Amino acid sequence: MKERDVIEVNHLNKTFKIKHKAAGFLGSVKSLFKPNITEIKAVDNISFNIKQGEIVAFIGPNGAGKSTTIKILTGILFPTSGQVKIAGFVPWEERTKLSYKIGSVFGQKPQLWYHLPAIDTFNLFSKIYELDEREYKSRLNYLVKIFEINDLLDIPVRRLSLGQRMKCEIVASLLHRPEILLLDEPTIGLDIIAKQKIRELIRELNKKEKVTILLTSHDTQDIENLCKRIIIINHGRIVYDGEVESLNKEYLKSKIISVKFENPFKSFSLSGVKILKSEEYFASFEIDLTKISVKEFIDFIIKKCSILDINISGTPIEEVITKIYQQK
Amino acid sequence: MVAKKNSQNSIKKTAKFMLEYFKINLQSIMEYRISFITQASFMFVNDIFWVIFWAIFFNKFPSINNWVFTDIMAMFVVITCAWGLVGTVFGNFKNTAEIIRDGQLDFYLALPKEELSHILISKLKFDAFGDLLFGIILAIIFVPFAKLPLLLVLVLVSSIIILGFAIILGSLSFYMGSSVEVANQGLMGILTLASYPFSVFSGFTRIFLLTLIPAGFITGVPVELLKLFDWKWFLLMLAFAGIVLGISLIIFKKGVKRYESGNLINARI
Repeated sequence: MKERDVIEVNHLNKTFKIKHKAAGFLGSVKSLFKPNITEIKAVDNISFNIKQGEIVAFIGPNGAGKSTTIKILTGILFPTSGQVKIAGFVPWEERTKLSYKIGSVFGQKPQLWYHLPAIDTFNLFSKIYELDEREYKSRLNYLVKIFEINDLLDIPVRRLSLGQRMKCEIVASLLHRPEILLLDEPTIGLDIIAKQKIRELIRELNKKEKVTILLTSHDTQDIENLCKRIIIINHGRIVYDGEVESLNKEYLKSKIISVKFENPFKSFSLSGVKILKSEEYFASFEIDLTKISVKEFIDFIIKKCSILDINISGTPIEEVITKIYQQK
Repeated sequence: MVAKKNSQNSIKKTAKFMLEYFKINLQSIMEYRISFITQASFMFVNDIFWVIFWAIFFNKFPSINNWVFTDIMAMFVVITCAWGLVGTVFGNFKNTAEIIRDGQLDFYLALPKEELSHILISKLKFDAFGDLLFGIILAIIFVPFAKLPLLLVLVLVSSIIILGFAIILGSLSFYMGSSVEVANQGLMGILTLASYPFSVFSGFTRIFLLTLIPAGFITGVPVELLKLFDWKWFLLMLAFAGIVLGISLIIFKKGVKRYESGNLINARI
């Protein structure tokens, strides 16, 4: 069956007025009488469609326009021009109706009451979304089970770890069974295990409930693990919209692996591996994935040295964007 | 019939929603109960000092431009009840400017409730409850029983004016970037001016207090109406409350379209 478009964005623009001020007290006085105001295009004529059940990564460097776009999609911000339809609604005109269809998690803007247990916020949300009491209880039980938060429900949010808090944030946004979930940096600040767990849950949710997910993240692992499609935005414009696999093949050909050793590090040479930095007990390597896989490299290094710690990171998004521009 | 049932359902759901907020706010307050009880008690003590001050004053001077001690007490009843009522039901009325400036409006705009009422009820001010309680006790002591229904109506209308004025000042954040200071000063100013006998003001000041800083409509007119009821002034006060509230809603709703959000990291406390 052909899936319908649940997110339709056409020629969307958003302009902000920014006041510039010279440094120091005199600058402040001057700005008071003669403000220097310029317009910046936070979102510059972007268009894309997302089908029901897709998980799409929406990424870009800081200030690229990701959060502004997501805030327009949720109805929080009004656009300067353009058309948007989410689940059939124009967000800024039918915000209330739309909010029953979407859930949003902003990693840096928690919705849980900080001093109260998460269950109190869940109960409040059930009233805000006017959920039927029995339906709410069964939905909550289901989410508590799959997110494994039963032991966390009555602990004040301020006492939860970041990962535990994020699980509860996602549960709060799912109580009303949204069709679309907008996740803005859901794994920010989490450790590797918590990140892995959150990713698993997002994947499961998408599979079981066909929830369409638009995800912003700076973590390339989030994208590689979760998304088939990626939209890259820079300076408010879409610079790439396509398969993650194609992006990997074209631009993400390397990984950076940093290793801490138990014994002093002895240099070696291996095809596809470049030593970026080496100290007595530490080294970082750039792995050319077209020549050697991460697994092959790790197998090699484990055999060769005694390892204390290892960290794998992808090509920074800024570098990917530079490569895209260079190719264009 | 169906429409009536729907509207009953909607009222029931809104009441449930407000009750849940009241509960969650109360729970949040209980986390810092000593601080809040201290605040409410200080508010109560502060109010008592004002009463003692005026009692001493009227012991020396019989009246101020026809206002006697009981009129001043009626004024205190109106301001403490109205201010206390607004603070108890719409606890965020003083924080709208900050909520807009700091991008906290995102939370309210992402949920399926009307954003302004949601902002206003989402906080409970325990010190305002101290004011309200003080006002009720003062009303029982100083306002004749027969005038209590009129007092109740006047307090409600005064509350609307305070609320509307606070929304206007807070909503200026949409247009100015931040109206936090303006809102703080404006609300403090109106509270101070409403705590003085309206009879001491005349001429231009009186017009000022019945228009731009409507402290006169908050306590002055209600006290005069309690002294001697006059339909003309009563209707004028009602109309003024309606206009202030109407303007505040327009300014807020138009402002939402200009909302720029922000990236400040917030916590819901």
